[in-house]
Amino acid sequence: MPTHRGDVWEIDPGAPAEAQVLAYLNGLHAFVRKGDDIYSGTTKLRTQTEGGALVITLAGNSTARLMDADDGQALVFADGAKAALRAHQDAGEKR
Amino acid sequence: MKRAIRILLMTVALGATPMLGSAQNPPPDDLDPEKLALTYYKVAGKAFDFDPIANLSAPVQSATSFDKPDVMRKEVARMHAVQDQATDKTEFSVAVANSITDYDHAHGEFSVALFEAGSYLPVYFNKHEYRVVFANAERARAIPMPDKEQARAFDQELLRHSRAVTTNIRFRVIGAGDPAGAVSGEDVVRAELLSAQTVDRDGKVLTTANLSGAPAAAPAQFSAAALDVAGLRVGVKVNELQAAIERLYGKPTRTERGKSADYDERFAGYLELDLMRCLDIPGGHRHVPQPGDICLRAFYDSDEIVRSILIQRVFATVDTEVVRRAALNRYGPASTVENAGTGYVLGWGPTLDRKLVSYGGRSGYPLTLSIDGSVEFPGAGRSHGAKYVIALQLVDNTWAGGPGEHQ
Repeated sequence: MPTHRGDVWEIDPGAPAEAQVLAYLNGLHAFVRKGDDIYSGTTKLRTQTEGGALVITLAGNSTARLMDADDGQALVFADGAKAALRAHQDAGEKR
Repeated sequence: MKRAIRILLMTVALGATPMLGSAQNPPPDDLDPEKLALTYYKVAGKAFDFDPIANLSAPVQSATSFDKPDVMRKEVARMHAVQDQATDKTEFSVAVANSITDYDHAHGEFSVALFEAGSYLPVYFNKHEYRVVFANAERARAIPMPDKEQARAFDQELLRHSRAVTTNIRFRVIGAGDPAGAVSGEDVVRAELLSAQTVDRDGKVLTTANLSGAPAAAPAQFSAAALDVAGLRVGVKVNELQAAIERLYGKPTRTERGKSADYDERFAGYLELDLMRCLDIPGGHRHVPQPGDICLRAFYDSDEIVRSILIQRVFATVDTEVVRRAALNRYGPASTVENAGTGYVLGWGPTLDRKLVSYGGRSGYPLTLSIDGSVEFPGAGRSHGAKYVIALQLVDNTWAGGPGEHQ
């Protein structure tokens, strides 16, 4: 994972519970995006662009789409569960 | 804790009436509870204490005190002989009083209730319940019927008998635990369906399962090194993990092993994002867990390689069924499920030395997922409302070796 470059995103804690669970189990509750690369913890996820969205390949033959939403970015899972993303809060604020 | 803990009690219909007009003759009932239990213990590699069971048997109970030692020896020898002959190829068959579910409009299908996740076949031996689940149940579950008119007519036929049907099954025992992660209990018998045919009360065949394809009894080799928990992997340098944690969650503390360390001696130290922050202690003057909070502890070895990771996240609400489905899709069939009053736990992989599973690790498996409700201490004052913690723990099983003292 890049230690400085790229942007850190996290799931909005107010997102629907199912989307939060899917994000957490797949390491997408908090991640670094650098261009079309997605880093989840110490794992780099496989991605490809498709129709303006970034499609992330997940375990179990599943995918999630990172795409523009009405009020920013959102993560949409293959089963339709959707969660808004927000820029990572500063570490100092969080802990 | 909804569907995952749902228990659908099925009745074993031993000696069921032969089905008139069925397309195939159902297999004769061959489900001796003792034989099933002894096969299960042998195939699953679980120890079985013969003496107390033999002592409760009818021949021993009816023997005079003079004859009892000899009868007891014979009974134990007989049970050993039954188990010696048992293998994972030993077949059982039975007719089960069953039902067909309501129509699923979203998927255009009915389901055979016995084969839905969370259902099991109870078999009783020596006043103890063995819950038989089928690893390939999903292949036998659905009765696809996309045509609504056909489905309506089928539904009306089912209603004539209150949806009651009989399912004739043939199966073999392949291990322990529910791979669907829905049935918990002391003895969950994992079986593979060899045939399954469901007939109505008139003997008309409603569905015959197509069980072709890969056998259910071929679990993939488990390797923690090939997995991650919430994106975090074992087998990486601790500095790499530390940098990732700091970038995503905040600066962890790093503690080198000291003389008073009480964790396993194979670990040389650990990284931590305070685990106490994910505990809800009403009335306390400390941090109140909030949805989205992350707590973490990762142990590394003397080569500074991460060997164990426990990560926890706080949720405002949790639907166990959603978690179960997502977790099985993510990690594949589970080795075990525990569903006690204190929480819900799924485990994957072979058993592991429990000394390596600590600080929130809930089962002796290299990969575990657990759901816990918020901890509230009686009389401690105000409550912060229900919160849940989903914990994931991964231990490098290749590095750890065998199961050690835990079986």
